[in-house]
Amino acid sequence: MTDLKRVMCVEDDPDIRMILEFSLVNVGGLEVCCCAGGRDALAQAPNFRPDLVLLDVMMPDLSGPETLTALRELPEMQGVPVVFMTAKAMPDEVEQLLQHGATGLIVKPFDPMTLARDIRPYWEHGRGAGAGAG
Amino acid sequence: MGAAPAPAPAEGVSAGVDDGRFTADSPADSPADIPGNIPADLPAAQRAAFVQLQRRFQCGLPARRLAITGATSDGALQSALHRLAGAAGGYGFTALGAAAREAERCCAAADAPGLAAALHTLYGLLDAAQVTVR
Repeated sequence: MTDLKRVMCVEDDPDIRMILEFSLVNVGGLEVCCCAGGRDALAQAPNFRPDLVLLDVMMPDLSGPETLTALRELPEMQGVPVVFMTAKAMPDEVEQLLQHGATGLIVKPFDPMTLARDIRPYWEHGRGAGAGAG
Repeated sequence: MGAAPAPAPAEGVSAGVDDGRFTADSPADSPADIPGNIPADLPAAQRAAFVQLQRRFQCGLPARRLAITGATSDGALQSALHRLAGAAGGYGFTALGAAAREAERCCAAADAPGLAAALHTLYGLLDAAQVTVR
C-alpha cells in the first residue's frame, strides 16, 4: 500500500453519496465505491479492497458500528482504517464511537473541497498502525 | 409529537445559475453563500459539476420537505431531519443544515415548543432555497 487510492463510502442518503463521490473523485482524484448501506458494503468490500472506509453512523439496515464490526470479520478488511461520518460530535459520543474500533471521525456536514485531504491523516495513521501490527 | 404546520412560502425568492456561479435574491440561506465554498482556482469542469450537484440537491428539497411535513411518527420525523441536516451543509446550505439539526435535536429531546419553532425556521429556509433556474 503506497498511496491512498480507493475509498469506500457507506451512506444511506443519496445526496450525501453524490457529494462524497464528487469530493473524492472529482476533487481528490480517488477511486470510490459508494454503498447505500452496511449490507451493500459487506458484499462489495472483498472485491473493491478499499484503502479506507468512510462509514455513516445512523443507517436503517445496519448501523455504522454494526457495519464496522462485520467489516472487521472480513479477512480483506483487517487493518483497513474506518472513519465514521456523523453529526454527533459531542465528546462522549465521539469517544463511544471510537471505542468501536474506528480510526477517526469526520463531522457532517463536511467540506467537499477538502474532504479528500482531510481523510488522508486517518489513512496514514491506519497504515502506521497496520505496519506496527504486522 | 407531530410536525408543525408549514408557513406560507416566502415571496419574491428566486435564484439561478449564471456563468457557473449561483446568484440569488434571497437573503436567507440562499445559494448566494455557496460560492464561498468553492475555491477560486477550482477548475471550470469541477465547478460546473458542483453547481450541477447543487441544483440537483435543490430540486430534491420539496421531497425532503414532504418527508418532514408528512412524517407520521417521531422516528420518521427525526430521520428526515437527520438526513437533511447531514446533506445540506455539504451543498453550501449551512443555515438550512443548522436549522434541520436544531429541529432534530428538539425532536430527540421531545421538546415540542422548541421543535415547533425550529420547524418554522426550517420551513422558511426551505422556501427560500427553492430555485428558479434562469
